[in-house]
Amino acid sequence: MLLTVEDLHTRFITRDLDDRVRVAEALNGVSFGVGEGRILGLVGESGAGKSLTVTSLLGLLRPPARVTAGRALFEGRDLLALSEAALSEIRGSRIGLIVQSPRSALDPLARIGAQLVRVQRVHRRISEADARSRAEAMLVSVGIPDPRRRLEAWPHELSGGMAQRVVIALALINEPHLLIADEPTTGLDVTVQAQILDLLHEQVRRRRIGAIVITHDLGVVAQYCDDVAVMFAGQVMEQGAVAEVFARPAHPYTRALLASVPERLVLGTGKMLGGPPPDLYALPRGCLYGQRCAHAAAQCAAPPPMSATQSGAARCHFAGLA
Amino acid sequence: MIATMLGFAPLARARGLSRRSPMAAIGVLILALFVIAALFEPLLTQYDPVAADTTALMKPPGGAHLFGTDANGMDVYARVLRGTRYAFGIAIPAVLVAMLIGVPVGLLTGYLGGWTDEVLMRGFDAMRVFPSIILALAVVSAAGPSLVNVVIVLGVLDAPVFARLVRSEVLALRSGGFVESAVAAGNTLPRLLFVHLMPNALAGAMAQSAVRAAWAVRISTTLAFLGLGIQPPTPEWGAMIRQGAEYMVTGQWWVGVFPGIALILLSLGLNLAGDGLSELLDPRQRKAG
Amino acid sequence: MTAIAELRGLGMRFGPMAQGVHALQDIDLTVRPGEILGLVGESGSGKSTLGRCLLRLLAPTAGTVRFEGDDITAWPERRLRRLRSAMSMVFQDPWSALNPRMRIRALIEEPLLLHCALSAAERRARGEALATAVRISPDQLDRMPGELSGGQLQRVCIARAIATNPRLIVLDEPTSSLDLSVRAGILDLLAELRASTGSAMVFITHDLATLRLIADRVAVLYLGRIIEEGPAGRVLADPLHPYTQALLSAHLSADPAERSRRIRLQGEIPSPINRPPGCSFATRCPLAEPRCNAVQPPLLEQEPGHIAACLRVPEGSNRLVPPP
Ligand SMILES: Nc1ncnc2c1ncn2[C@@H]1O[C@H](COP(=O)(O)OP(=O)(O)OP(=O)(O)O)[C@@H](O)[C@H]1O
Ligand SMILES: Nc1ncnc2c1ncn2[C@@H]1O[C@H](COP(=O)(O)OP(=O)(O)OP(=O)(O)O)[C@@H](O)[C@H]1O
Ligand code: SF4
Ligand SMILES: [Mg+2]
Ligand SMILES: [Mg+2]
Repeated sequence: MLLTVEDLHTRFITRDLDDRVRVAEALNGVSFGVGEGRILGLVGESGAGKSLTVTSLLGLLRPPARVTAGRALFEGRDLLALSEAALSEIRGSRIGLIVQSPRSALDPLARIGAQLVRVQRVHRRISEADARSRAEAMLVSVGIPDPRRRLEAWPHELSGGMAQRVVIALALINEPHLLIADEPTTGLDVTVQAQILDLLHEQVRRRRIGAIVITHDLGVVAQYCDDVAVMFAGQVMEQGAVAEVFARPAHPYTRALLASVPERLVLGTGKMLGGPPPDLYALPRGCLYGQRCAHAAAQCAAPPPMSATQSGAARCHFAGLA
Repeated sequence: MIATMLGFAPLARARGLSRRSPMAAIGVLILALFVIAALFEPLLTQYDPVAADTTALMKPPGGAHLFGTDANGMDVYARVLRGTRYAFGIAIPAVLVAMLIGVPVGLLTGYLGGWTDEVLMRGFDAMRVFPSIILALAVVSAAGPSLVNVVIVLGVLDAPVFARLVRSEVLALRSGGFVESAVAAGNTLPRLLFVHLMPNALAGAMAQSAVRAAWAVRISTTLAFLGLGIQPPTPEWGAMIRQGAEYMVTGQWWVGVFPGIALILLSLGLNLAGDGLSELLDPRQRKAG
Repeated sequence: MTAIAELRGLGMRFGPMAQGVHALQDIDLTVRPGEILGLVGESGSGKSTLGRCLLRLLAPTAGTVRFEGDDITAWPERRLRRLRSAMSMVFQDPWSALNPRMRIRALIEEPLLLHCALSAAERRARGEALATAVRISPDQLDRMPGELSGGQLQRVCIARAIATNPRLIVLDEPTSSLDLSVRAGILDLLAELRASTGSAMVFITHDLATLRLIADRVAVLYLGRIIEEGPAGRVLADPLHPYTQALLSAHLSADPAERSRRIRLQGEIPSPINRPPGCSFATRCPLAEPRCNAVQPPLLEQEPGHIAACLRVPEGSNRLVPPP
């Protein structure tokens, strides 16, 4: 395993006006692994903590968020125990990050070319001219036309999809060993999406690096990922190999998710599945999915363990039986 | 004052401040002492700062008069304390006037761009060509040396600093999304400027306010020292230093040195606190730090 | 039936005349009352720009924009303000579309505050109803935008856009960062809104399955031009233009067992700065012939209401064959 995350807990700890401590339990024991040469798809409800998992791992949390427990082994070191200096050395060189919001990832006051040159020169000795020509080559491989000219563009002049591709170029340019992509192709048309995922896939296979792809597009998971982890309310509810999990989903949430792909939806049927997400300030004691689960029974008042299933593992009392 | 209030009020922030930047914490501490001096001056001394006492002329420091007395027999300690009120009383309104003028101008020129921006910014550039003390001198000597005049002149002279700070923030925000989405929602221009842009563009200006207050204190005391500001026997530091300068040669140093030390300390406090504030308020520096 | 919005000969160029980016060219588009018009296309093809021109958030450099019959091409913002309650937009990037220093509650209530004469209590109640409709929970209302996830922010943007029951809503990839269950809920909400208020919507998306579900008509943009337009059922089932065909073939199936039969496009996307004289798709089109590089293909009607701009359509040789 290239990266092993174990029992990651992250909380938002604040004081309200009456000076009472309020704790939002955002991540509640996230565990998963990423193998060499494999792509892990991280899916799940919006607000489930997918992005937060990434920011926790990379030490990018901002107060009041805090990692309260867990380990994350990457190349033999625990990321959660590293100093800020050591982490920032790893970020951008050993681990490439593609963040969810392309606009805020780009410095609005620097041209695209300058930013691509800067990330290279922060992490290694390379001449300005070499860095520039690599930047140009990188823009070509993420499918940006007229790269030489685009190097001179300001971030606000790019279309949403083009900004996204520049962010991808920034993440790939230092040849990281682990690539974390938070919704990398959201906002790209499908032909470009396919091109970028092909590029990512090729990098993972050829250089035997690992990748985490966070996405809401089950098509991306089905066609490009090897493994999948399904998150809900700060926990991984189910994980396993993609083909297996898609064929035999064991957790009720996974089943609900697979059933709501647009291809299978009918509008105007009134009640769509789901309900409000659990209140992070007052999580239920038992299964976090309990309130929405159609199969909830008496056992579900106790927290379900992660149990092995035919397709991998799932956090449900009935997973083994299904 | 805005700056100092921001420094004090959220105590949690102050705690964080002392950990992150001890120099800024020292600045805030110095400021706190001066604020206490200004507020509780009558409790801190038994003397009236403008009561002449012919029985105690030019007493050296020590004994009944901690900092000695001046040529009129007024207690220097009491006068330095009272001077704090004048320093704040000029600096705070001056910074407020400067922000009141500079912030709207910066918002408007930054947002509209075009010729409004050109004209106003060129005008401000022209103002900056002259050293501010010379401009202040010229205007105050023409308008007459009253407290209100000094405040207005300092405020107007300092407005470009705030206008520029705000303008550059607005320029960066203008191309960003939420301004457009506010326009699409149908905001009026004033609401757009003051409700949406201002809170997001003010951080830099807020951070600078303490430093600008230090500037205002310095210029106003300089004016008084040159005889153009507040006139003696009003216990204003500049006027006191001017008075004291005459006796320096004859060895009665205390009349001028104590207000001078107060001036330097307050300047220092404001500058240190200002630097700390910029660190706290400027999101860009915060991310890096 | 008069159109809600109409673009005629619309052109938009950014930057200086000689070397500016030609984001849109010769766009003719009509949005009819109560319809959902899907807009798809290459990224950078000008979809967002078109949406902005439609709402006059941008002033086009050529052509006219009409809203409910009024030519609003040259209206100053002050005059447009009155229309802002009748038209709204959900922006593409939810992180930058919300004022980071306003609470979620204030953000959702803002359109009501600006356009509706409501008491504070009524506004609050209506704001909470809107929040419930987009599944923002009450405890999230008192947070700042930085404290919500991407999908949650997107829903706040949608609540803002539908607050005044506008007659035209431009939704720029409104569901792309939503998870499937919330996405389904939002699509349902939009369909319901359309049914109850008759709002017309321009729905910009890359998700063809969503389009199939919700759109009445579809327009396909490529490099700043409309290259195909027609009833959703026809365009999505039987695309005429080779680009549309390639686009549909690249859709990723959510079934891992299903092999994708994607038509791979080779070649460079031409830069919008110096676009080629002929068909702008010619550099990547598997069916391109020499004449494609010389003649700008006109938009021709192939069947009622279904138009496409490809030189090979009239002779029926426009079909791409997907790989087996
Ligand atoms: N300051 C905060 N206080 C309390 N809760 C917070 C705060 N900031 C974020 N959260 C919550 O943390 C949760 C995790 O958010 P995260 O961004 O990781 O979600 P996500 O799974 O990436 O969702 P999406 O798919 O919408 O991007 C969300 O429910 C969010 O509301
Ligand atoms: N303010 C601007 N200044 C200069 N060029 C711009 C500006 N806004 C957009 N463009 C350019 O116009 C073209 C169209 O951009 P637009 O944002 O409309 O694309 P889009 O179809 O929405 O793409 P995406 O799907 O990636 O969001 C792009 O080439 C873009 O770089
Ligand atoms: S006109 Fe020619 S190049 Fe353009 S789409 Fe048709 S066949 Fe392809
Ligand atoms: Mg996220
Ligand atoms: Mg766009």
